[in-house]
Amino acid sequence: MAGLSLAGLGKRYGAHPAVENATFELATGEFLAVLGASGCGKTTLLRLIAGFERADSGTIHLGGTLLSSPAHHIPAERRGIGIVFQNYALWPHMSVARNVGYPLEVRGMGRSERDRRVAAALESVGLAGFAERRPAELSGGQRQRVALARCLVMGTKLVLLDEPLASLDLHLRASLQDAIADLHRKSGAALLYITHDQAEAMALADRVAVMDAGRIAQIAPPAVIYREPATEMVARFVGRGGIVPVQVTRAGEKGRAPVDLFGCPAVVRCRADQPAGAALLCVRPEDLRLAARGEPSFEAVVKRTHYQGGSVAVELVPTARPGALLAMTLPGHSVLAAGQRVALSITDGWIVPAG
Amino acid sequence: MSPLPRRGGWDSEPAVFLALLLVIALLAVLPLGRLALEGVAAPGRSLLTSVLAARQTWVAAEHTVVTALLGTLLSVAIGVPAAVLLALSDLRGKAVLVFAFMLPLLIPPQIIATAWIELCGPASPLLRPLGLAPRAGVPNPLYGAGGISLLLGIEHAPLVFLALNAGLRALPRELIEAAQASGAGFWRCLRDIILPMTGAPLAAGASLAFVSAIGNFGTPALLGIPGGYNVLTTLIYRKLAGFGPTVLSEVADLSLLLAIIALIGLFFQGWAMRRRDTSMTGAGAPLRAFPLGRWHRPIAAACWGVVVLIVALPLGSLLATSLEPAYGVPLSLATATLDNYRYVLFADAAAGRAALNSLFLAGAAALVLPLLALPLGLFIAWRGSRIMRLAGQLAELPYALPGVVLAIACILVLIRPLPLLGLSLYNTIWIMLVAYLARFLTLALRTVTAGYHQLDRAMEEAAQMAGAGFVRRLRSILAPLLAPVATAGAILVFLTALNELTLSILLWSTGNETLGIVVFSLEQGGDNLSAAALAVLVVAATVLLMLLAGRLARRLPRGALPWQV
Ligand SMILES: Nc1ncnc2c1ncn2[C@@H]1O[C@H](COP(=O)(O)OP(=O)(O)OP(=O)(O)O)[C@@H](O)[C@H]1O
Ligand SMILES: [Mg+2]
Repeated sequence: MAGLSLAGLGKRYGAHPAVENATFELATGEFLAVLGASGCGKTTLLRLIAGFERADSGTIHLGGTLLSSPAHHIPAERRGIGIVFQNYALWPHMSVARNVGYPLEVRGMGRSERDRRVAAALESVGLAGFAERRPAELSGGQRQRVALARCLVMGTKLVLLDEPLASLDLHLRASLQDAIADLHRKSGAALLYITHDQAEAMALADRVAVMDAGRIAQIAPPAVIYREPATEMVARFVGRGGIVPVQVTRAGEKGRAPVDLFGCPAVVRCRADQPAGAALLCVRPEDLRLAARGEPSFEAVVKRTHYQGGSVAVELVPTARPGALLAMTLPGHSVLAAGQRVALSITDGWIVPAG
Repeated sequence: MSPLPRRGGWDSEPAVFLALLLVIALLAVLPLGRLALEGVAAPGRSLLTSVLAARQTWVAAEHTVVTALLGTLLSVAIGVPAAVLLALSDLRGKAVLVFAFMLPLLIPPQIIATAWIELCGPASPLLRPLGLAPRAGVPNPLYGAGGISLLLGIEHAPLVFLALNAGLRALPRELIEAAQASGAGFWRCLRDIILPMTGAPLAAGASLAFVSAIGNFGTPALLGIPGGYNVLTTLIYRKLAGFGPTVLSEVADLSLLLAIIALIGLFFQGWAMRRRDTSMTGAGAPLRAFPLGRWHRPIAAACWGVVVLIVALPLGSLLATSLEPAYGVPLSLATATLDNYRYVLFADAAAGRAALNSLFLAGAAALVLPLLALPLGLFIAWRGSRIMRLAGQLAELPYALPGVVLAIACILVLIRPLPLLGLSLYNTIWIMLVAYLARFLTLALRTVTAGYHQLDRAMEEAAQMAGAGFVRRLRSILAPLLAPVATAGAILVFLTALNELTLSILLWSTGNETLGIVVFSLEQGGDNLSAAALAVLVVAATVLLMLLAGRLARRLPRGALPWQV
């Protein structure tokens, strides 16, 4: 099998595990986004794969070749993995063209062939006329495009990107996101993309991995991460919405189970093996609505409203559980004031698997 | 609630500012300006031309430049591999290697020259048992241009090392990792990325080594004078020592020539520093060391070999000589004696006086200069005052230019009686103190300024908000916070001043000799044994002080102590 494959990968700094038991596979051409709180080990994971750090345990294979195991370490320069750094990492003493062509130069490619490929790579990131400039004469967005071209030209099977857009302003990000999606399409390479921006991850990636304190909590397509979070941490970290305690009244059947939410009966989605008993329910904003008269409902108090133009984001506190918080979205003309009591019902929900 | 009333309306900051400007004007600008004036307008336009017309002048100038260039080449040849290995590889025992490698910079040239003369002389206590020593009666092989260049190269290699090491450590880690990811191995990275990006600091370090080499006095004095090989510094010394202040105008012109050569080097250094690319953005993370792998053993062995050759062997033969009962008597456990130490410590009046004088001069400079540097650094680092920054740069000149130049400049200013007081400092210890203060101010200032750059400005601003006036803020907030750097600066000044020779040899008068002068005179006068014993004591004190300062290091900004990089 081709692609990247990690098994039980671990790295400690002193007693502190920065990455623990990372196990997953990345198919050729797949786009994986990695999300997680600051300090959870995303950069460490990337540097292990790149070969800048040595793993303490586990193995890394790329295209069937062993790159790393506790006894074996192929240095970064022989892994042939493309990397895009947050601060571009362009060599200031080289022209744009030489920066992009350097991987080919190292591989001993002839001048004319090299020039041709560099020109093509620059062309494809929209920097055709910039070959002879110095990196210092480029804007931030242009510099990152050069860095993308440098990866593109390597023709690698795997490109790692560590928050490549974090130092760019919002406006530039959108156009660079397009450039990255482009790079992904043209190169056919697998991308491992670290970001802090959930919307970016959801929009670009085939699958999203969420890391929590060095471990990979869940790895799944964006819709699954959002609709069926595997742990409480993932449920809280990804998307808006609330986590509230419920009573599962009967064990799950065909992925659905009846629950008792603050005295209000409802049927929600769950894992096939969901047992009856106490559990946590993940309720996304679109799962909640104001109850019609006579409908089964529970009471909540409006805590805050944010007018968002066209819609209003509302935060609510269930009367039965003052510590919990729910979120919903209402049309922009609705008038709700903080402190107001409302009756709510749910149309959907996901029981977060225990443990 | 009403605001707290602020006591006293007078802000002392402008007054302190002006006082500091005055101090720098008197210490740096006045003497050097006076010297420059001597060249263009003094009683002898004709004299200037007569000095420049003398063949002797040009021979000495040529010797100066040739030995300095050869020395700089050697410094680069030693300093570059050392910096690359110590900054980029996973070599073990780096701290000890750096310390040993920095010793030739901190041990004064007259002692290094003494040590090497013993190492290579016919009486060599280390070579003779091996049958490698030259025959008696043959002049020491180090006398002359070759030996001078060799020692200049060794003494100033640490300057190249320091500059390149700092440049290497400032490299953003991503730039090297990006090259590795591109497939470049160590040598490829070194050639294509690392060295091109550190060319500027390397050029700056080499220029500094060159400027230091042309200003060096101890080395060419001990290795050149016996064979009649003169460089500009020794020519000036011989004229002034031989004829006294009557030749002042003539030596002033010679020192101007020396200053001009130095300024060319300094100009090149400044140019190289400005060429550094500031568009690089580093993450600040330390570079991952390149693994030496199976090369570790041979490379480590080579490093230690070099340290033994340039540090341990010469110092070892110095130590051996200091234990000999009589010059040339083979050293063994049976013949070893402490008589030489007894002599310099208790019997020789000049040595005792010199120790006290050196302690006084170095102690006074180490006390006064950090106190000046505290407010000066504040104006330079935090206030961003243009004038003060310029003043700070002017204060570098007396240190950057050869000591001989500063000494002549001080004589020109201070030989006549001071206005108002009516007495002259010439021929007293005070002219030496003034020269020391002028020369070493910048050492304290650099350390303290680096400290300010690491300190949060809010420290002072909070004190300001609390209503503390300028002097109080300095005393109660900044001085305690900067105490570790100020102490490091003080130790650096003390170390350098304790071993000073170049200024002292031109400014001293009987009764005011310093340690540097006594070691030099003993060696030159042929009393090698006493010279060696005194030199060993000075080296021991130097190493002790370096270790002492090292204990402070954990509380210092990186690079505050040159031998802990
Ligand atoms: N060289 C190092 N030495 C010691 N600890 C380290 C080192 N590098 C990282 N760590 C620690 O390992 C953990 C993971 O760091 P890492 O940089 O991988 O986090 P991250 O998820 O990339 O964070 P961020 O989102 O802020 O970039 C952190 O707790 C960090 O303090
Ligand atoms: Mg990170």
